[in-house]
Amino acid sequence: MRLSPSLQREFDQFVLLSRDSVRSLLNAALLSRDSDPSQFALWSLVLIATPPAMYAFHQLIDYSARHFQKAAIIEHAIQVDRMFFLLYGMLVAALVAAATWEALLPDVADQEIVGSLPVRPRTLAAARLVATIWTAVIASAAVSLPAAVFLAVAAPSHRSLGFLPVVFVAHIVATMGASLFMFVLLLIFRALLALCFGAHASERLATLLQLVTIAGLAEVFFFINGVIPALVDRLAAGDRSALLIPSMPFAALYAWLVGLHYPSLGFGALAAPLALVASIAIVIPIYLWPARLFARRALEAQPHQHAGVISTVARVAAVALPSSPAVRSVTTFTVTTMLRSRRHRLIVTAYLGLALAITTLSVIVAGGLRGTLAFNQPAISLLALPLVTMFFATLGLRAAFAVPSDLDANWVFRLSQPRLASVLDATVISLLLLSIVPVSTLAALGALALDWTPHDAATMATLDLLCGLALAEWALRDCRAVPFTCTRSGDAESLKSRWLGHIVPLILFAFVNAAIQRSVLRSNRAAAWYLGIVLTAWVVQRLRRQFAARNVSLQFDASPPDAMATLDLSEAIS
Amino acid sequence: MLDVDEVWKSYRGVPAVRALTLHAAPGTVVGLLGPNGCGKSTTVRMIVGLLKPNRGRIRWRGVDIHQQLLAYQTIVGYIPEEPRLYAYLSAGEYLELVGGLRGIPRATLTRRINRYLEIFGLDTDRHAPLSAFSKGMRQKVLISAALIHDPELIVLDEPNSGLDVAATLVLRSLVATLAERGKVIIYSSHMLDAVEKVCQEVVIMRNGRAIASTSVTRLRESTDSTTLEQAFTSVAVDQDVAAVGRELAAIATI
Repeated sequence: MRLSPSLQREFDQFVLLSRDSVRSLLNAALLSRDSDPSQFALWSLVLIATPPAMYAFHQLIDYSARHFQKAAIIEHAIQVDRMFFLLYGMLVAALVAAATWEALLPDVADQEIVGSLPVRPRTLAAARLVATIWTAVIASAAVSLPAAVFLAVAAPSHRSLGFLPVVFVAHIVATMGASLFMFVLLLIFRALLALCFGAHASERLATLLQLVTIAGLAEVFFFINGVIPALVDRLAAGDRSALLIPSMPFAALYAWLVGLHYPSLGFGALAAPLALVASIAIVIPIYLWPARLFARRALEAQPHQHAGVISTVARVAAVALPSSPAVRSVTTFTVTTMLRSRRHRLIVTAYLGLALAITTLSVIVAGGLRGTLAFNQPAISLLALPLVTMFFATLGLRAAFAVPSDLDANWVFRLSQPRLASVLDATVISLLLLSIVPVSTLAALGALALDWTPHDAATMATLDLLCGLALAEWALRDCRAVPFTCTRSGDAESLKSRWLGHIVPLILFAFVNAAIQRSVLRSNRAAAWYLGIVLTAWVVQRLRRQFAARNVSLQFDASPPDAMATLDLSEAIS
Repeated sequence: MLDVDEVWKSYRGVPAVRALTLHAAPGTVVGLLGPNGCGKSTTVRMIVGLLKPNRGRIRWRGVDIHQQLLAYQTIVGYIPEEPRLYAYLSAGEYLELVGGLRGIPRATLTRRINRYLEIFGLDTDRHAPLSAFSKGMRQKVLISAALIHDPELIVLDEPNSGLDVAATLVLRSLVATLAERGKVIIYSSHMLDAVEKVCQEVVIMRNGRAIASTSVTRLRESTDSTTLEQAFTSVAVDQDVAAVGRELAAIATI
């Protein structure tokens, strides 16, 4: 069949724009503009694919070890594992959507570049839609394939696992279907938000979405022994209302494909493909129908005239500080950049997602869900909540400060060359304004809302504030640059590379500290002593930092990776 | 022939262009002049079809451009004021994308891209991402993208931005040659000497309105000026520029 010349041309444009849209999406997901997109894509895929692959490999051994157990026990365990893979795949899809949120629809730049060319807005929108779905397919394939291989290899070890090729296909169909369903649901949500409330409101949601998905990804591993078995029990009992939980129809499909016979399983198995097809059928018109409207809105949008309320308050606080002009300038620059830059906010959000996961779990472990935890008293798990949040928020901000915002603009700092001591003071103040003070204040308000005595709430907030200051000094121990102005080196510190080194400080700062706080809250004298100790620790660190900053100049270019780390292989080869 | 008739455009009720009329015949270069915020870029964006006027019509050869927007955009070449490019693409990739979207056959497109990159001295950087390009290099890529399909109407919004002296002279010669070949050219710029040298007609805008629309020679005569700069100052500048300069210099001593 030959297309008419105009349709053929539109199809050619669609193909070209689809290819470009994949790069656009990748570019949107890059946390640093100077990162290599292909390296970033590769390592991101490896990062998201490793946990399920490792888990599947572990289960491969585990299933073999359970060879002599009863079929019912193994069957239940396998269903729990399958549900884990489904949930993980769906959360990864949500994370991909959050990371590429601003590029899920064509933005102003796309409309400006393509708008003057003979291209219909719907062609651009269709190309972007296909590219986003293609990106999600690649991410979900990376998550599903390795696990599918391991589970298929494990299949012959027990009859309940199913037939090898069927397990392989069922795993891929169910997990990729669930991921795509979640991704397409978010695309619908994104387009509807943009349609009803405008692009700006829609883009703001990315931060919240990333916070929830990262917390979910961290927690899903801990749900294997609690929440997931409960879901599996509801599936096995044929509870049709459970099918309203997005992962359940796909779990039913998985079970049905491998040959399980629960009641109402066929209904659930049918619901999964129907839900996926329906979501795709909905997303197509929602993307294409308002394409012209989106284009017009983007091209006629005026830049925002007003700073946000939080941004204004933070800037006023920064300017009102009794510091030198250089400290005030750097603080205002840091706070404003942090609050306005979506890329940097996303970095902090990723850290806060982990904090949310750990705090939720610590409350659950302490009996928060069973009702055995008394919320109206300063329990250790409750005292640890602001400390965990503060720890991750501070480390997240430190990581975000290391990612340059606009290197071409850093000549302002290069020329004015503020003293390193002033820059570090400003960075501490920024951490104080963006993390330590808000967390301490919220902790005090939360404590009062939970009926703690005002004395306990105030003492906890004061201790948190001082501990936060000491934490800020520790976090900045090797800082030599104005935030957002230094090039990023290949071996830059991040939670990915140094997570092991952060576990002990986290335990000490959050949980040991919370236990001490719990003890000292019983006596004013002990509280005063502890306040004095923390204050001394902070003052010592501050003096040490100020002493170390003497005669050290600001850094704008990251030092090349350590020769020991790279072994200078490139030089050896050349 | 391009006819802009009594065109109005406002953003959220704030008028940007009011009752603007402009005509451009083949072989002429029409200069669009005016201070910042006078509505030049909005006018240019309406002419290339990026924006739709609230009132009035823009016609190409007698037909409203929004009646056949896609057909119209196939004959338009546009150099935007802001160098909007996909910064992750290389110059070659960007030109391939634009040429491909314009439906230029691959072999022809490759020949043209190679030639543009060679003449503009960008062939050694053809695989570098545009994010690594200087402003002038990006402008050269935009000029290539605007001309790659041999357009009949060429709209240049601050085309000299970032170009060095040699490239500016090349651009001037290019505009003159294209006009000789019968192209319709709209040239929006702050650079009055460049406008004076390449434009036959000028439209001076202020507060969204055209306050003068005539030939360069007639404008100079009517304002009793020897240069376009003097004529422009007498028509469109209501500040005592020398006094403002002195005031600015004094701020740092406060």
